[in-house]
Amino acid sequence: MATGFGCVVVGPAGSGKVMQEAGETHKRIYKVCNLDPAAEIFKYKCDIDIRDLISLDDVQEEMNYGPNGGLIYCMEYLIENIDWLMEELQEFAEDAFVLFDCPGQIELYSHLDIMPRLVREIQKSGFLLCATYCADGTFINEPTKYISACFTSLSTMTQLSIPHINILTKCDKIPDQDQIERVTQMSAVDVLNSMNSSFPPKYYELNQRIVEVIDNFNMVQFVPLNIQDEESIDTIIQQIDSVVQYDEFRLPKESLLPPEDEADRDDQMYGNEAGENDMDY
Amino acid sequence: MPIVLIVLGMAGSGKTTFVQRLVSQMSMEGKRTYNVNLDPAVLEVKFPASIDIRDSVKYKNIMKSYKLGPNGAILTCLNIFAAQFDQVVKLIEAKKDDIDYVIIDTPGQIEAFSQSASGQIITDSLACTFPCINLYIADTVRCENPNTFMSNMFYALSILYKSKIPLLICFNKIDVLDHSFALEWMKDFEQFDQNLSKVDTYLSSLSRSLSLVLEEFYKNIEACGVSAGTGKGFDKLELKFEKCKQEYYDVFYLEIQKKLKEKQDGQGVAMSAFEDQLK
Repeated sequence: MATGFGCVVVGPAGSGKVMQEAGETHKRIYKVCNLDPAAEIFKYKCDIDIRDLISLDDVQEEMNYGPNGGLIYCMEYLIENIDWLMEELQEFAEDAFVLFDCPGQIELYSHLDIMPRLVREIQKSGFLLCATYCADGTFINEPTKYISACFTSLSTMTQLSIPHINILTKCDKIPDQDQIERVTQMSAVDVLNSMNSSFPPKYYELNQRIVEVIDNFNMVQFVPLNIQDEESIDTIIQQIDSVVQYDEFRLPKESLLPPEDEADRDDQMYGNEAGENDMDY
Repeated sequence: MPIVLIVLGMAGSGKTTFVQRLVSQMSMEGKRTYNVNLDPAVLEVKFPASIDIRDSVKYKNIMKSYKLGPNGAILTCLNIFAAQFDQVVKLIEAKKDDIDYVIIDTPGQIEAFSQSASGQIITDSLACTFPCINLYIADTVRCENPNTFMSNMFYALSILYKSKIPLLICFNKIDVLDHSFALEWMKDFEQFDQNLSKVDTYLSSLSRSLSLVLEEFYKNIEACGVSAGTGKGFDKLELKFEKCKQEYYDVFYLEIQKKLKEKQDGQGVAMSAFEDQLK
């Protein structure tokens, strides 16, 4: 039985907020946990904030660190005091869905294994996790930029070792609405031709291999998020749910049988624990 | 025509020390450099900068006036500077016969430049006018971990596809750890694969295809080892620069010229995106 479900949101500041708003339009309540000690003052309320534990300002002032050193210090501090986070998370009901808004600095994911360690800790306490890598959709106006985003995502996500989805945010803000469709739904051949036209012939083989990877693997592709478009939000929520196995593990709101006996009903709900062992990534 | 070197690197890779060393090496060899600092948050610029973003944009003031955190402030500073960047290009153009290299130091947080509209605009405006090379500084010591190495290579690949200019990977800190293992891994992918953690099964379905990508990627980029600390390897850089410059002219340049008009449209989109940010 999972303690809760979580989605590690990686991307530019405010990505967690965007996801929460998207959820609200679909009557899905996401709790937001801000884990970015350098985050600016939020216009929206977050349910847990790392800055209640430690903030970049504090560290920079008291310890004379620069912004990078300070950020690393804060994240290490969080891991050392992970009980604080676990206590805060207990406040939520079981099977709450928490968005963990995380700093975007790639160093935390690749060079220093801070984020992977943090993810492990959260998983240890019973959370089923997935990740979303958010990139700004307004910049993706041609296939090569899309490729670039795919690889930045891979670069960041490889060491987290949890299933992830790539999301293109702000798709509602793109003046040419077809642009995103054109880019994300281009056929492999068209993508390849477009790439080949931007690069010298010696890159054609590389382009070919890249297109094969993207074509064959969903986890490399991006899903556009248009906050004005219900279908777009629906797709994303469904993908997140499926990747974190939300439907399999949460408490059913209604039992299939009438609740004649409390004990019987409990057995039904808590019966299947086998699935948890599948969550070894 | 001067060769423009845009120096990128993750925090801790030794990027700034690299730039310092590069500037002094060039000066020792009698090359004329034009140095540009694009890091708005740096406390002290340790090389003689002909252009310094901090002269036009005050990082601390931006943080206060817009109530931004450090990341937001760096991005905003870059945005403001990028909007005026054509003036910088004109300045360089005016002196082009007297400059051998334009050396550009980017912000300490690599995302601020490599993934922002302003970074794109700055790179594009330079690449339209001069032979331009991205220098990607990698921390050799950290790269000994195959996962980190792979992460770095994906990131470098992403930079290549975003900017579409030649890429030179400089493995820094070779005084601490020799980079030949990295060159071996790039030449012989099977060797790398053996070293890669097999515990990570998440990507394993993907990894065969990705390894094919990386294998091909390595054939298309230049790589070298340096120590910004001791100066080792810097004498070999010029050869690499010349090679990359040749690559720039071979086809990147034609593409850039062809797409110049489209780029202006593309810049229109990017401009409005960060104009919104400025509000």
